[in-house]
Amino acid sequence: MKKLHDEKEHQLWMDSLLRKARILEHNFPVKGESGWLPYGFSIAHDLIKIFESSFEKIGFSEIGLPTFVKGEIFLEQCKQIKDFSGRVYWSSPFEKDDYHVVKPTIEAQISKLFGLWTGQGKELPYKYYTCRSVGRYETGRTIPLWKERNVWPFFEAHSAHHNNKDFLETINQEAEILKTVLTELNIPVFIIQRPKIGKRLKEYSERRVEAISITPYRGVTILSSIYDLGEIFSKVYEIKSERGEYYPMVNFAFSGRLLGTVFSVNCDQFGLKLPLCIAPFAARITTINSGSADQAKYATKIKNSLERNGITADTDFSDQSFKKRIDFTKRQGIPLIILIGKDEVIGRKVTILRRDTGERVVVSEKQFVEKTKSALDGYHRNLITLKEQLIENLYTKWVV
Amino acid sequence: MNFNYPLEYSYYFEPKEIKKIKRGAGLVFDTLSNYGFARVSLPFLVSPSLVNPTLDHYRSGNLIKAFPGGNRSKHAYLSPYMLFTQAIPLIRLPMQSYKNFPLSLFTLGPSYKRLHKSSKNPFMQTEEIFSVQGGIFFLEEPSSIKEQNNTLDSALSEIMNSFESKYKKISAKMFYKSESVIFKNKDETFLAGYHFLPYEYLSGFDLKVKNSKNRFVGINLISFSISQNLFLL
Repeated sequence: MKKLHDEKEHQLWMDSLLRKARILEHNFPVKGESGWLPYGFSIAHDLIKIFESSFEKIGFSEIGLPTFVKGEIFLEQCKQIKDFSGRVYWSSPFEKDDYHVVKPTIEAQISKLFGLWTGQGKELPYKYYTCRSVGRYETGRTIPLWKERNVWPFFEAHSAHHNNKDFLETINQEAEILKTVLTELNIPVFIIQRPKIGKRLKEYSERRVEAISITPYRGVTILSSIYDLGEIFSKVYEIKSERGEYYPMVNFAFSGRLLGTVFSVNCDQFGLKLPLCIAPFAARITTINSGSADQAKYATKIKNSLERNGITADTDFSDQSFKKRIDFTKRQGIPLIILIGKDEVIGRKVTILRRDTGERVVVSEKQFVEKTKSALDGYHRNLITLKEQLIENLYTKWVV
Repeated sequence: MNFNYPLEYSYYFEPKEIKKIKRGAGLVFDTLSNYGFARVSLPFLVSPSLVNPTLDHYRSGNLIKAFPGGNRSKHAYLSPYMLFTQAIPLIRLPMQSYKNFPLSLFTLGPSYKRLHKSSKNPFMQTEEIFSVQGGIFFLEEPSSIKEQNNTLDSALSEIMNSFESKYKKISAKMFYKSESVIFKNKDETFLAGYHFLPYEYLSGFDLKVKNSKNRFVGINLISFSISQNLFLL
């Protein structure tokens, strides 16, 4: 079995896998850019919808923000809080010599808007999220999903609060969302408040709560951050009451790095093993003999039956060899492969193959929906077991 | 579109507008999907090498540059409307097979066009935050321009009808001897449009693939765009 604990080796293997599985293509003429192919887009979109729904449940709404941030608004953040003006893209979209920044993060942009609103008397709290592409001028080596110049998905939630209770409750709610979602994604995760260890941390935020994970190659990675911004940005952008009291703010974000970790943890030498919550299809139905009209017809009937019972499925009737089709489906990490061949058509059966264990079971047409649900449940529980074994391995085998 | 925003010539969308846009976009996605289009996500920073071969397509002053770290000796472009240049790297993949064509893709994302005069007209902006752009890439041989044209025309007409807009359809010879078809609202607001770009015009992009006889053939493109104006009707 291929050892996956060397970071560089793992990264090269993963880059190749994401391409071969038709998830992500990073061969773009601008360094640090990736295009998400339809299957990959579907995975990312499912993840985004989970977070959107979770944030809406705690009172956030989606806002649509433009690309350009006025240079002087952005530079206020750089001068007074943290300067990263050399790591963004500048542009002159309106007049020849105007200067604007291409959206790098939400803080300056939305804080200025919040300041406008408080000045106009709009009632708090303000709780908004957005998911979009942002531009970051990263220097050095870029890595798909981990370090890119065109970052998508980039999910941010930003809020301003009228009292301390609401402010603290929001931080806790966001941490709870992280815990719930990352558990569903089957990632080993620790959600902790980072101690202040240096001046730099204090400049940007009062404290931060981070979701930290460990990859199979023992890389420690920050999946998401919740920043207690306190009054830091409010003082710069005049987000205050009529009496001059500054309102505290919270910022939350995650990017494609989170998916990078999901992929790294949930894979084996054959490819991905996608958690059910983001798998575009729970099952792929493949005919054993390509070109067989009978097998294709029966497979379509099986697919329709699965979909009527709430199980997402697609079919593969391509003219590639059977082995290539199976290998491709394994790479894509689809939880179940349902095989339809001559025996299955004649005997009105289906063969269910689990992606995680390789276990095959032959069931009758009458029973297959129930058996499929059972197989999916087994798949889900087994992924959790494998994750726990990974954690155990990382805890007890420090030198490999 | 809310112009109460701390940047001139710019706007933002409030939550209730986002819901309206997403409802409309959802209708569009369903229709496109029924016609065989697949959704992708593509970079909004586009290399000059993907735009320069078609600079006669735009007035170069209409394109917006982005300078990395403020360094004006290098630049990328912010993705322009209507040509779907962002997708071309996907078409040029080494693993691309003639069997994958026609390849019909679309994306939802911003598109940019510099206006030489600032305008408070809500339907004339430098940026569309929610623009649907797409295209059908298909082989020169066997040529099926009419078939692909009809597919796209049917899809866009169906979309226009589902919004119950009183649109009008205009044909104009705009780009490289081929016709553009534009859907406009009764008040002349641009809603959607498409045009055919043959391989000959796109030859600067080296869009070729081996056919079943192991011979290189060129790839044509019918490019389309659907404006956020449609979702705001």
